[in-house]
Amino acid sequence: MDPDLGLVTRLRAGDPVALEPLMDRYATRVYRVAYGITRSEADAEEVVQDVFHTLFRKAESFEGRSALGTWIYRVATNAALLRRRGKRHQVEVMLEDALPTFLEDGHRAGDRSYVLADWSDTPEEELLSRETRAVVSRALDALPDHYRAVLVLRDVEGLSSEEAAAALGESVASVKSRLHRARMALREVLTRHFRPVEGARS
Amino acid sequence: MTQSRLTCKDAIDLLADYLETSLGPDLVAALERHLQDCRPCVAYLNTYKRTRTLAGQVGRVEMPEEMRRRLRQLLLDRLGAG
Repeated sequence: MDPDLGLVTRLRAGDPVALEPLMDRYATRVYRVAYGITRSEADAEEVVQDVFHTLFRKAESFEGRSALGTWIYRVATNAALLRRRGKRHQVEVMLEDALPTFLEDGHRAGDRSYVLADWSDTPEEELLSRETRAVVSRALDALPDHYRAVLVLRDVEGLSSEEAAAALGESVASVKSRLHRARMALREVLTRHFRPVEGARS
Repeated sequence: MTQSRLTCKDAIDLLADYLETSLGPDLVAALERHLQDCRPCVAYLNTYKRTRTLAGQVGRVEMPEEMRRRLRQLLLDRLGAG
């Protein structure tokens, strides 16, 4: 049995000492997933509350069937995606625009300086600067919700494809395909951002 | 695609599995051969990898301390009420 389930049982029995370790272990993870998907602190806070309330209420929905971590990721992901419903903006065009395009022979389309652009050795301070963070943040905002959810579960939380698939209730194949497309879209935005100025030919 | 010559499109399609080390040995060999001769795909792989870690770094937000306090209080109140 998942040792954390013992903590949940104690929490339900009214033992406040069980609260701290559960919060330590799960509150930040839930918040990160919730914020990553909803992109709103207020929504993320409500998701965290929902998840912990559900933890009190619904023993039967996870006990003995899955590890607490898996269950929590699933509840958090669902709650966050639900909050996004009806809030989609004009954004989903961006993904197709941002995927690489290819010539008939299978080579990437685009001029030479573009297909050779390699900004991966940009110094960490610049990659994590306020400006670059804002670029990444806007690109994350623009991803369709289900793509962003996969990216958050895999690349932020570090879940495996199988764990992310369980959290999303989807197939591993679909998780992998969306993850790849989401990363490609972000890569494209970053490559445009770091691209050498037009006309400055090397 | 299991033949030795991959196009850039094939190569890029394999990158996620390659980084997860979930590709079979034949495809790994074919991809690495492609990368030896293809600077654009090397640039793509490098920036793809950096994108992945950067997304992780930017996404690792902490729950604000004040929110954590509110949550703890909410849950403690609930414990007291239960």
